[in-house]
Amino acid sequence: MKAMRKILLPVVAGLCLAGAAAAEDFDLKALDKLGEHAASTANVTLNADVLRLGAAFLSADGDSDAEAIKSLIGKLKAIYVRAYKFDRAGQYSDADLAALRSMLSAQKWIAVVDAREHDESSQIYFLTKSNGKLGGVAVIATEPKKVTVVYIDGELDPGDIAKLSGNMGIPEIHDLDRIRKGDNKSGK
Amino acid sequence: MSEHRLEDELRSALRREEPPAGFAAKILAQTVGGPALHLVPQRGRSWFQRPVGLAMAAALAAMAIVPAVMVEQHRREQERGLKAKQELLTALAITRQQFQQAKARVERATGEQR
Repeated sequence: MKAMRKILLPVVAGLCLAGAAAAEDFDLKALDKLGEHAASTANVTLNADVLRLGAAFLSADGDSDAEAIKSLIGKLKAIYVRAYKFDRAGQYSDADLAALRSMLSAQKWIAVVDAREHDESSQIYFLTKSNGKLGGVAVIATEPKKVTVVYIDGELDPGDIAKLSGNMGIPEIHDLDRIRKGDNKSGK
Repeated sequence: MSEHRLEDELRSALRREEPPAGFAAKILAQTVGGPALHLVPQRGRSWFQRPVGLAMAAALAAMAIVPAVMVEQHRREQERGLKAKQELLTALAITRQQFQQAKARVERATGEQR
């Protein structure tokens, strides 16, 4: 029994530490500095409970894409969105994103998209898993007066990425603004 | 025969019995020098002084409060759910926008290269 404990305890501790390390791999506190100079910020943090609750309310409202969204977020642990808008160009520098990029240069993450044009860029990173699935997705998009970071934590099929970038009944940002104001004529 | 027996039993049960010695003295002692008995007539007591009235009032209060609490709880859950739905849609919409933007940038970059 004691021998078993000797074997099991380090394994359990190792698994716990691995889980904690995965979460620490992407620390959004590295973006705090960006928020200090931003004219407006949008922070959305959805943990697993809130994701399920939101999906349940989509179903309750009879949303036709509720099932697709539910299956997409089924294995997700969290979604984090940080969007910063600045009044003028030059109010943030690449150095403000350096800490985040260095986290994403860790071996487990692979940069699948790195598109740069003029002074705009988009980078998409996948956290790889041994079972052929993804353990997370990170997006960093920069414009002279805008920085957006999205981190999706949890298991995703490669096919889910196509769903995420497709329409799937998700209203456009301007539609969301209208819904917030109470005009729900679009039915979503 | 049985009628006579019944009569005898009744007579025996209802026969006059003399009180024990000193009974009258004890009663007098209670009424004159003993502790006063505070007997409040039932009709004179307020409803909240009666256990049954109090229980009924508590039950009525509970009947009035419990549905209100449940309605409020339901409203809060509804509010929390709608907020979660809204945030989920916002997060997914921003994610989609970023993916589409990245795709467009890649397409423009590869188009320029050609």
